Amino acid sequence: MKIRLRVPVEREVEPSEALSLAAGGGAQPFSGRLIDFCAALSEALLADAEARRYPELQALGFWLRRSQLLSLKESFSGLAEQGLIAVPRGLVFHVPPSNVDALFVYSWAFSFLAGNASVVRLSPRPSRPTDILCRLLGAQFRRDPFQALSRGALVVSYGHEDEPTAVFSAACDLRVLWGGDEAVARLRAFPLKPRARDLTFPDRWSFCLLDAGRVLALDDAALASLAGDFFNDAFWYDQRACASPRLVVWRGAPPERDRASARFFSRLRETITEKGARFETGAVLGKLAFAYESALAAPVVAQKNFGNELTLLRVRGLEGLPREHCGAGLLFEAGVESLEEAAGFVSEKDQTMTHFGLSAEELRAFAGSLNGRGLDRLVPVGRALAFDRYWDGCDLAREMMRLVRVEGGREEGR
Amino acid sequence: MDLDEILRLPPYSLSAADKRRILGAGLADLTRSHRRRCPQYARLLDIFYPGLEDFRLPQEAPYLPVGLFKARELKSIPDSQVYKILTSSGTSGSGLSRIVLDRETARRQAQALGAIVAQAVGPARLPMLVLDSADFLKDRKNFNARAAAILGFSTFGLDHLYAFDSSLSADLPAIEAWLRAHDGPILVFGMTFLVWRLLEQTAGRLDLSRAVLIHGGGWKRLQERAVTRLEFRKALADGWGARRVYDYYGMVEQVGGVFLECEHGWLHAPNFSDILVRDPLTWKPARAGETGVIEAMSLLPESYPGHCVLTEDLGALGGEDGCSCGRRGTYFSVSGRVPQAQLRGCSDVYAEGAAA
Repeated sequence: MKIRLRVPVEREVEPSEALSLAAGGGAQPFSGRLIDFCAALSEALLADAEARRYPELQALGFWLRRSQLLSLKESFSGLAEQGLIAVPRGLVFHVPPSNVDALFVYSWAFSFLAGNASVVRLSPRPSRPTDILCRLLGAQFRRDPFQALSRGALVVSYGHEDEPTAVFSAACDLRVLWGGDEAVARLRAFPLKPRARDLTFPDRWSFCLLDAGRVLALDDAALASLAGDFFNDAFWYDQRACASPRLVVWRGAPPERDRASARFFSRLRETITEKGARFETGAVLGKLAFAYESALAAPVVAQKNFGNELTLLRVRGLEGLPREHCGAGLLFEAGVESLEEAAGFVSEKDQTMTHFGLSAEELRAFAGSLNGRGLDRLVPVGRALAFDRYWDGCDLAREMMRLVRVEGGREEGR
Repeated sequence: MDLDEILRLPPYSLSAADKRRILGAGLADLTRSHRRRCPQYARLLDIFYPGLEDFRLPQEAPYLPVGLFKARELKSIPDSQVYKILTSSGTSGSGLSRIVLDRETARRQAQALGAIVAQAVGPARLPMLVLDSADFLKDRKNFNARAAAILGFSTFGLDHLYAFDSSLSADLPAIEAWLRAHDGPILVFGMTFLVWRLLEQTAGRLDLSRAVLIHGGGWKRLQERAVTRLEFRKALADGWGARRVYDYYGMVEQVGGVFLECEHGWLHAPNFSDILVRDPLTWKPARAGETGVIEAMSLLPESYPGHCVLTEDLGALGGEDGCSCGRRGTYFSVSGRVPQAQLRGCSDVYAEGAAA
């Protein structure tokens, strides 16, 4: 069967042919041309008129800028002292989520910078941002200095056919799977080489913890800025990214929490209006059904509706809150007296806790007390979707490489 | 007026003003009674309609999203009184709705449907051609909406013939023989897409000019094939000579109170059920002619709290009492389903494949 090759050029290919195009790639990790390529892509993203219309593509462009890449490279400079040399794994097969459009580039970029060849499987579902990314990537590979690098980035798209997935799985050295639990399980069924491994990023859940007193103490401008940051966390990707907050936990005494909640959410509603956020009727109806269902399945005590874009479901306590969600602007809301009270609620499903009004010391103690029971990221409000090499508890940059132990002979030292 | 009195009236006899008063009072009664008998419904009212007071207008009645019936079995009767459970046919969406009926509710559904069909077909039972396969109806315990519709309508016909075999191929010789044996008016009933399927297999070879043809179940599959309502009607007239063709709009959540099309192409609400078109931004009732989300209301659901259901269908109100067909009450049109939201986020990679 033929699949669609999107990068480096648009055409139809057999999966085996795609594989042969990717074969034999391989550069030294973080070698100059790899960094040049990513930096050029960054410039293209930041300059392209169409790409500039998508904040997530601008965030990607910013993330790929040269200084960032050099500091990533620098972070591995201590390996030599430890008698280690980083080498690429070989061929990396990426299956990114179909609708966090820019994510495939992050997954791919770590792999590419580490010197690997890559095959990226995209969904055939139409997506403007994905088209832009493929166009810009393709254009870079056609430029003279980068032509030889195109083996490092083969982007294909196909539906749910088994054949290409089987071919790429059997050939790769590392398979990176993003998506729902079921999807990840289905994909893992395709055999890998004995030495190859999977890196999986299944469904996760995220919440936001706000200190009520600190929110009440904000002046109007600071409150607006907090609401703006929260808006970006929750409303980009229609609140359906793993890191999108779905629950707001207030820390403080009950009366204070109520006042902070009233103040914060009325401000958030204004922000929603200012930004002109709108959900489709289908999403609003889905949210309505989910809210009703949650009222029966979760310890919901009250509902507050701020129009089609924001619905709050206040829960009696954190216990028994199912980790399910409909997206489209629905927030559970709960209160705790202390961080310890919140700790009891955290489960392995929980990925990101965005926070406001907590000290670094408190946060470290909190993460330490959880001791891996859940939460892989504790980041300030506004940073929920800031993609980072440390994701779901692993170092993506490091995972794309193998470490070769190089130990000198005794005689050398004398 | 109690429900049984309303059911005995000719089905399109109430003026809009009378209807509003009777329906409003009936829905208020149902809301109180379900609140008392269905703890889950009571909980939902407490959360989503805190401080709900008695209301008089149908538009003030609390409504449930239709999707909730897919997630939850809501009932207002003890298990011992469960007579049957209807399920949706599930052509779209993931879960199936489950609707719990007791004998009384099932009986009233049949009575309501009978009154509506009699208006279109006349009081006499007619020989009935069912555009489906007999095999489809085998499992009688859990009806889906398609089976429920066939069985519901079948009681108004006699000497039934099923037009399709189990692979949905038309048995043309059998249909021809059956038509020869019945020379008066006949009733033809089936899902809209199966009417079309039979037409594709038999156009120009069957004469159904003496048929009253009732079909329903939605246009989704025909829309996919770009068949418009007008083309559908024309094709039926050209291919079979069938001109008395009535679409109906109904849902498993409100069986019985179906909305049947009139000679002028409008869907009509009978006395015991109604629709409201809600503006999808404000959720207030939309004006006539404005497209919005349809809320279906019915006085029939006594065994489950489905008397007011916000559907996922789009439609527009035509008006009240003024249709040239002479029926009183609300008339409206349905334009299709609310488009499924294109979900973003990271949980949906490959999700579309799981359903395929």
